[in-house]
Amino acid sequence: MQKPNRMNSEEAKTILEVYRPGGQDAANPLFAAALEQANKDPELARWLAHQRSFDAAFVSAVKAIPVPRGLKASLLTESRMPPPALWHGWPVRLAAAAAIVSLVALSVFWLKRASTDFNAYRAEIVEASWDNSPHLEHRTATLKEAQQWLAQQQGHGDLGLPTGLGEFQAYGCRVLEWNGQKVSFVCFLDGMKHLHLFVIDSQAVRNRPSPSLPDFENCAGWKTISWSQGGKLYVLTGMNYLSFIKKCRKHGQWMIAG
Amino acid sequence: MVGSFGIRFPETILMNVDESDYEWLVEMYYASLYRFALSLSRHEQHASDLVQETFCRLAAKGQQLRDPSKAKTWLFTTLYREFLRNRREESRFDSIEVISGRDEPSAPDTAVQNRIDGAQAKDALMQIDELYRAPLALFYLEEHSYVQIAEILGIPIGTVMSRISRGREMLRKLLADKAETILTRYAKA
Repeated sequence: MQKPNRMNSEEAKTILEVYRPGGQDAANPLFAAALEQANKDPELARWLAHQRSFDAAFVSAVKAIPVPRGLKASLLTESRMPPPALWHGWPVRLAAAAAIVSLVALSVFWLKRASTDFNAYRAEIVEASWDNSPHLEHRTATLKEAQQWLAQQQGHGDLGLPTGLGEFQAYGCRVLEWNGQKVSFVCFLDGMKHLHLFVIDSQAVRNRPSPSLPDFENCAGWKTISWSQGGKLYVLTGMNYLSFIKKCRKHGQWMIAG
Repeated sequence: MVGSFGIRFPETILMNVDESDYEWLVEMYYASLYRFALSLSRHEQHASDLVQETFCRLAAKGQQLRDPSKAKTWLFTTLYREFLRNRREESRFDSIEVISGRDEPSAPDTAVQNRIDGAQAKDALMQIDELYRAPLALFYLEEHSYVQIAEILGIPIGTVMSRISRGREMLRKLLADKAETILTRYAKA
């Protein structure tokens, strides 16, 4: 940043409005020039002193806001996801490169064959469920009844839900259709929030998440968590990632089997 | 580049966030992030959730920061975007359907309010409109320059300067009004 040649007091005042009272900006040439002007202008110097005193009081107030005990510990334990696999050594890298080339070739082949991509499915299904009002065909407060109704509608009634999600109260359900495939949709209540769960046959969707690792993605403005289990693909919306992790990850393992 | 959560990162040097980086970043910034989150949400639990979401994104599989020096700004930017996204989702949810027998809107966090009532400065800051509160909170945390504040909030530098200036005036007025109320009360007594 260039040091301005001539800075008047009005300009200096404008710049010093954002001068941090702790002096962190003192080395910045722009602020240095403004401070120099304040040294020459007693009125500006008085204004600055008053301003810094006021700001210093607020710095103390903001920095004194207590932080919950245990937050740091929870960040260091609960928030940590399994680290990505690290590959060491050229043989492995070469093998990986060869695998990638093969995968690219395969994916070109698959792109020509099918249009049932997981990302497309997820985007369409999430949009469709949240944009319709009312969004349920059948109201019920019990999951068992919802499952029976879904089975009667030729949807997937045998849902293998993670036990961590078992505490939510069912609110209703519906059967949707995507690319000619039935999609079971169950709405749960988490307090006043809705959670939407979509279940489709895994084979109906390609590029689906790994069976052992949930996929977290923001989709159409919603947080989504997706996983494959028991031949079915699950997509959950309306729940924040950390809540899901707390409920479905224990002792370093995902507990997503029903 | 779009990360696994759709976050855009600056195009700089690639860096994996390993365990020691993660712990260092928690150590350095969790308190400031929490205070910023509390100033935005004005609710302790929401603030904790925001901080946890932010670090969760940092630690998630495949998550990469491309420049270690940008980590601090990235954390604050991510938290701010998460706050905006949560607020958008809540308003979107409210417009979908009214649930019979649903809970009343959650009451303000009285524990926080009582503590803040004890400190006029904090009380005043929390009363300021969010438009001014976000840059003011970042400014008073002293972690960021006005240029970095502009980057975090996604607004022009000039707007940051004017909002800090205007917000400070609002704080002064709020404190002056409060002081006058107290003086009037004592004068009557």
